Amino acid sequence: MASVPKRKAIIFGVPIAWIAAFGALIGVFTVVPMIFYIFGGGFISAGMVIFAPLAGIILGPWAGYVAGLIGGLIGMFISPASFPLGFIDANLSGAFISLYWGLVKKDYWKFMIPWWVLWIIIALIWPYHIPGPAGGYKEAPEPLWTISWSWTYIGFVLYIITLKFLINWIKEETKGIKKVIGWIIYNFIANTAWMVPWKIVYFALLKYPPETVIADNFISWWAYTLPMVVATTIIAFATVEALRKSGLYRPPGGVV
Amino acid sequence: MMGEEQPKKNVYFWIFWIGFILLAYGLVSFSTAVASPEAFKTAGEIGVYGSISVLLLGMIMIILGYIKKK
Repeated sequence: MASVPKRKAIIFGVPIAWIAAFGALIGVFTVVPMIFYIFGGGFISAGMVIFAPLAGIILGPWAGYVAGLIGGLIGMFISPASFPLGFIDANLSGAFISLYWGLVKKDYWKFMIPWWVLWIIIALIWPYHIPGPAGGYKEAPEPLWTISWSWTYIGFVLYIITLKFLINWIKEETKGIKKVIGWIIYNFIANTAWMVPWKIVYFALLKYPPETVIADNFISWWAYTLPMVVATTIIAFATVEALRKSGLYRPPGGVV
Repeated sequence: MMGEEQPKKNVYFWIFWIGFILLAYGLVSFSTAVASPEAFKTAGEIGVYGSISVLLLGMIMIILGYIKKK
């Protein structure tokens, strides 16, 4: 394993140059479409699907968040169609991806669990129940509304169940199919946690009808989660393995 | 002798792993571009043909990298 770089310019154990490089990669690749929305009208960029999760996995959640925010801010200006909410989207569609992909690592469970539960509670009640009609939002039909977020409940349960051993499944010494399954679970957990704030803030601010949100939640399984998990599994597996074999520095907050 | 072989090995090592990233990009972008008529319209011809080209390029790079890096 390579030693810690002898640099003073380090944030959260990561050289600033790495954070800047990831930020630039995320930002530049926001103009490259990757997952096309099933109802048309837009896309999730390669910056969001490839480099933002990698930033979280390699740099860790906090340095990843900074890199993601840099990338989101760059993307906000060069690909405004991918960031319709401006600065809020620089967080939701940039920094939050890196943050969540880093937070899945066991070390951060004390932050991850309450943070995830908080967003589930927010999504279930705000804004389609509270303030609801008083705030100009149509009341969400139950129990469909609560059921439609099923992917995040499953992700959360999977996170709790695999918390103790998931990191061992993706470590360097693990071989074969076990490692692939480990990466699939890791990416599924990160994806289903991140999509809660990503969706609810977007739908709430743009005042989508609750029926549209429910429909979008149900199709999320195969329209967003499946392609994103497949892509990030292949990419994370390839990049992390290459980094491990290359002998480059491994930031302590990440999972390399 | 060793000094001459080292750079060659490194090149095919990266070709192999970068091939995986291109494969993932091509696989996901192509499959979502043709998933519905609306998505097809957003992607356009360049999106559909471009993504399948990247998919094939990724496959070629993986095969080439795998054979040559040995």
